[in-house]
Amino acid sequence: MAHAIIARELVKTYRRPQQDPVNAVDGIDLEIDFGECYCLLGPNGAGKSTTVEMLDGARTPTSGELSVLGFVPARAPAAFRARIGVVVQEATDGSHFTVAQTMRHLARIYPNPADCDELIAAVGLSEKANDKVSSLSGGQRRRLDVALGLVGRPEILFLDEPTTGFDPVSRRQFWDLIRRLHGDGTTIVLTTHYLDEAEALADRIGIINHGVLIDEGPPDAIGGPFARVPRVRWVDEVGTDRVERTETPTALISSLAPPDGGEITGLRVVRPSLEDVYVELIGSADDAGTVSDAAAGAPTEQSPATADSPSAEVRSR
Amino acid sequence: MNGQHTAEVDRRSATTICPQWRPSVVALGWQRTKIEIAILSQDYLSLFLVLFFPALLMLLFGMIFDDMPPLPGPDGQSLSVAQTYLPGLLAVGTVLSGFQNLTGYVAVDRFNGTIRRLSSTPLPEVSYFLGKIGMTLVLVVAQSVLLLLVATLVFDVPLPADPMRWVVIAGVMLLSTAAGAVLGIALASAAKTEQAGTTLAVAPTMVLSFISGVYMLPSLLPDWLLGISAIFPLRWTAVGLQYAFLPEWAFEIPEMKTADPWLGIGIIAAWFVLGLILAMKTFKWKPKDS
Repeated sequence: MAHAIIARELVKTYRRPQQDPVNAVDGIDLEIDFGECYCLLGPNGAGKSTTVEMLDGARTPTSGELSVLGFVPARAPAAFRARIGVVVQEATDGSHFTVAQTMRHLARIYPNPADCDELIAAVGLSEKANDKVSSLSGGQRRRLDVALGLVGRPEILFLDEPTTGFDPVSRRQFWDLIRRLHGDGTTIVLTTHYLDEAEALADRIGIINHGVLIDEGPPDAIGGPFARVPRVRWVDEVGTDRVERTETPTALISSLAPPDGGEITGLRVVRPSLEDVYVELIGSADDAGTVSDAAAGAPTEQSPATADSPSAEVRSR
Repeated sequence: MNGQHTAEVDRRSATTICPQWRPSVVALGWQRTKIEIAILSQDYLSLFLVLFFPALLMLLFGMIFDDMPPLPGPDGQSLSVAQTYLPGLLAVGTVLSGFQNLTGYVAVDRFNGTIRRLSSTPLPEVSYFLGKIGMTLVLVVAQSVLLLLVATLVFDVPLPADPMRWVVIAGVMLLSTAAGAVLGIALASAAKTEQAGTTLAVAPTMVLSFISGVYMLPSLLPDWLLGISAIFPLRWTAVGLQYAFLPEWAFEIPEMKTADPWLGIGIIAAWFVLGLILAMKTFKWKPKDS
């Protein structure tokens, strides 16, 4: 099997009372390999959660094709759910039980569960194993959620905004945990609106906005070569700020150097960070977004059967 | 993407879990029952209230109407006040456990992430409900036993000896609990918040208990009020249990204002079917998005 996840032209239309239906996901293509850590990055409301919920089978796509571990997730049998793990957002269940009890309850559902004590240790909750879940801090609670998502030894782990509300230390601990899972070969799909998180964890990032995948690639290559071209900034003789994009910054600087051997005022060579690339991509997509929003209101979009997205061509270049 | 990791993909589960693998519905239903009972037994106050409420009412009514003379019957027989109250209080127990209690617990599960988490595991939806049914049955049986103990030991209420009468008692209580349960699930699914889910069920239980001849004996209620309560299942659960518990002469005297118990069973069954349809339409194991 070449890919753990394959999505083609995935669309999810939400009907809204007294408003036009909206395509929360508007024609997304994905190919995620076994063992890959794939990160959906985008602003709030971009369609990240809806996409993950279609991948893990919680929501049924309005149109498009989807194959996860060879199953159609929304119609898949229990055997599919035995092979995936879902880390749910903002759950407060299980507060009556201890950490160890909660883990064992869930482990019973799976055919081949992990060792609960080992898993509790792996998420750093050994000392809390016999404490009530309600006594955990926010970060500990989220680590328990991850452990609960892993209790069936999933081949694919889905995490939706796992570190929202974490303090910096818990975030780093959480990242280490994800890296260890990744090292063990678990396929990981996570959503985040934190750039550093995507950069730290992902083999590949998909940037999503208005339900459309606007770019995709490894963290150091996303945005394409042009977006990564260094910028040379300086202040010229008449005192104007200047910026130039160039593949050959050294040559540009040499040509700018004053003949008398003096310094170039305010000289900086900046290689665009992921954040620069991201802001540029999201910014330009927002201009295009107004066009696709208008199209979403067209009568042909009303019925799910004909909801194949007209704006799918906006996808990654 | 990351060669060193993809080579080491853990294939163990992939090879052992075949696509035809099915979890055991009954075994997991039993596990869920134990979990539900464990959750309930940690909520001491509500457990105490649900379990002892009918028995406490029995004590209360028995003492309040202590000096009321027993209803005289033929051949020197008579019917004590405690005896007249017992069927109604058993009936209200089924509504407390089946409707009020279950509405609260399903609403909690909806809003605290339990359902979202369980629906992403191989747990069958049926097993989740088997757990709720199991918990409810344990509650109904336990509270009924407590009530019967108080009735017999404190108030010397005679219990029927004919096994057929006990079959009717078990059948009516089971049907009433089931009708309350499906209506409760439907109500919990319609609730906008967890708090609404737990409080919404209290009002109908309260009002129906008063107008169905449970807290106030039917002889004290005007006919038009009994007519209204005759639309709802609690009145008919009480009538069905009076039919099984009371001697025939007592069931038939006009003061008892009883009615045809078999018509009653039909009405409770109709509520069960309606509740089942509503619950299946409104309860969402997975978000059935529009």
